[in-house]
Amino acid sequence: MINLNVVSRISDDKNYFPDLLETLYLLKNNGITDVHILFIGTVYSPKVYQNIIDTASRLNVSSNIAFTERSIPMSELSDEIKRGYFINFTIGEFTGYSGLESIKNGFKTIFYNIDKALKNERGDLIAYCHTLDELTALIINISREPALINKEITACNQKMLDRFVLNSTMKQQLLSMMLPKH
Amino acid sequence: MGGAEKLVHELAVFARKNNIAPTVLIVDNYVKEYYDPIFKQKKIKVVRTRLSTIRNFRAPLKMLRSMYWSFRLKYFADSLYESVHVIGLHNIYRTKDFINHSNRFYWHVTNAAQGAYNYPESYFDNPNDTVVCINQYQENELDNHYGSAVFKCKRALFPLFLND
Repeated sequence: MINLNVVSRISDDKNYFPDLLETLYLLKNNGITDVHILFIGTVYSPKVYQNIIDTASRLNVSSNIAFTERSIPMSELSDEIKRGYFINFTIGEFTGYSGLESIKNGFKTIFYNIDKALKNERGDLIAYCHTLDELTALIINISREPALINKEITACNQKMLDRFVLNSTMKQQLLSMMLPKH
Repeated sequence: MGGAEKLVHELAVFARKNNIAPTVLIVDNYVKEYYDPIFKQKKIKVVRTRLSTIRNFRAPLKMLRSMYWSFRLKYFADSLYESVHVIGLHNIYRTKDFINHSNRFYWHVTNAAQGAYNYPESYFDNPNDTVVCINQYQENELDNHYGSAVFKCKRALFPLFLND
């Protein structure tokens, strides 16, 4: 069984969820039926919530999804959930603080690009999926060789933490933005 | 913490580490949030007030406070503060006409996929101001949406970061 977790408010400004249901559908067509998605977050938009349920039903993957219907701090998630994969939405290969927090919590974090205009970008980072197909392929690989892929995802995640470290030049640049008169 | 709040936090912590005393200004929201104790613990000053001119006579203290801050930031910001950083372009309307300062930085913290660009071009008309993007995609988005000629202000790129 592969558990995918999505930590996000279910709200109007974040309606990238149907893509993930489509991934479940594609996986099912590939004979992989034991993938589950847990949506972790408060429901702010009943409309978006209903759309997830309706889309899942239409794609025949209703039994593969569940909701917590409330927000839960990452540190308070159960160990079973923590062992799963955390899907973080990105713009291309730009990771925000939520992805960083996920990695820092020690979660295997998969980044999924939500900007369709950037779907033709290509990268060689295993944890970054620019398209639905890449995400589906990654999960297929996980189901085939979990130990190997887990190792690669974790290594990729750790490397990404470096992006958030300021070197001395950057520190100087930030200082000069804070103290421009000096 | 939400992403924008986290950026405020990291900027404030960075400032403190470099012997700068930051003031976090939260406009139009008097409700104390979970991050208030975090700022308090780190000795970061938080001011919650209103800068626009809605007078609320039922809350005279808040009103006086708001008048004090409006006056202070409109006329003395430049001498009281080294720089002004506004987090989120959606907050520019709350600050541009109310905080007069020769070094204002507008941090852009969202991307096109999260919502349309409906900010007026006038946000970018002051040559002293700087729009700070946190990723290259935003720079392209701004150029594609507004055209680079719209930007009379300066532009900078600075990544999200974490204090060690």
